[in-house]
Amino acid sequence: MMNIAIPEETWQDYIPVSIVALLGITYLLLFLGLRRRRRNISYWHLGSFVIGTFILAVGMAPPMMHWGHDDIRGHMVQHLLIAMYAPIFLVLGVPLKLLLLSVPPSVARNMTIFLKSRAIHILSHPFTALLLNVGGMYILYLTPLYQLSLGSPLLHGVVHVHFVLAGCLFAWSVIGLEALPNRPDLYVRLAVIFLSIALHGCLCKIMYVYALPDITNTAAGIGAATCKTYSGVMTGVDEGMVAAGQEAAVMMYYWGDLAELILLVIVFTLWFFRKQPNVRLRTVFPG
Amino acid sequence: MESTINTAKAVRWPTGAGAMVGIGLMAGVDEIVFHQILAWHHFYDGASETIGIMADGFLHAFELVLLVAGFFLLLDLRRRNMLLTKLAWAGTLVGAGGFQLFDGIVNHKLLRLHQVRYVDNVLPYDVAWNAVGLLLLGIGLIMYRRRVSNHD
Repeated sequence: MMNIAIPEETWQDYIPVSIVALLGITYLLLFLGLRRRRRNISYWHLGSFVIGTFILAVGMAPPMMHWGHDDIRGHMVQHLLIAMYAPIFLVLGVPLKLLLLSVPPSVARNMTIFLKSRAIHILSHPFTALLLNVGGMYILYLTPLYQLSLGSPLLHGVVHVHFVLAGCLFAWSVIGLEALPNRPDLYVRLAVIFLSIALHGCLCKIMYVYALPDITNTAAGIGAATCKTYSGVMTGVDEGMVAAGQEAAVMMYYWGDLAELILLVIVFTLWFFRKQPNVRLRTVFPG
Repeated sequence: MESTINTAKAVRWPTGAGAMVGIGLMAGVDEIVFHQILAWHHFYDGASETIGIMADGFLHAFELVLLVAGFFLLLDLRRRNMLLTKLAWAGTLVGAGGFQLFDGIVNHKLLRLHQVRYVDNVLPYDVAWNAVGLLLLGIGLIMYRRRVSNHD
């Protein structure tokens, strides 16, 4: 199994990126419709959503999917893009507000009733989102699930969909830009971000120290073993696999940290400007 | 009565916000200069237990939240004309020096998460590390005392 056949691209490879493109186009059309009806929605939201869609599309593009499948470092870049960076920008595009403003009033009313339900309240709570997001990662990387997902296209797809949805739910619930009734206050959301940074960092170190996830006997492991790492030249397949896994863990640690830092800055910026609604940047930075 | 409470708050808030920023900044310097640029510190050196790794993870998360929260609190104080700059600087130095000492004693020596540098004799590095922490802490405390006594 030392020679890995490079899989030929098929039309199925383009399904994920097409779904992302469709999402972006839908948003754009709804946004332009709202602007035409002179509804109050800022171009900042459009810009942010476009950036989010772009990051998601890069993470779902066929070459990225192949790299992510064949090399754990590729998988980690993909994970960072689709589960940590893209959700921040998608959520700042206020997709729910856009949808509620775009649909007919009767539908919007029913949607609001649904959003006020207890089930949605529990699901959209930051703690639930944290559990689904970081908890999912602990299960994926510390159990044989990751190895299994490499062998099964269905499981692989489920893992990626979960990454995107859990990432978006997490960003959406802690940023709190789209106010739901009974939204937990700032302290709860900060506590959840704090836990997320800590648990994410711990997971990376555990992966680094115990050489998890186990990628021996997979094409990804052998593929990774033939690559060079910055920590030096490898002597054997096993060492190469461990080094590639550790490199992925370090990448997840530092780049994941940056994503959480961006999230913190956004939460505090919103707090700062919401506290005194009429304050302008000029009064903060005079002259 | 009310004016004393306000004075206490006027002193405490900028100092506290400065200290939060100081702790976060020192942790950032540690992360960027010693881990990334000099590569003296290691991501993991094999000497600490899982519990040490977990403690380090939570400490790091705490520092990151403090850095951003402190910075935005300073902005908020400034907006409310409550930012006493010298006190904020004093707080920053106290926070930075205090964190440096904490890192040098608890993280390096008690938890043994990592050492300052991996050489045969680490003592000079440890002494220099903690001396810098003590110096920053001392300057910060003196600045704080001066500013508070000037105020009275």
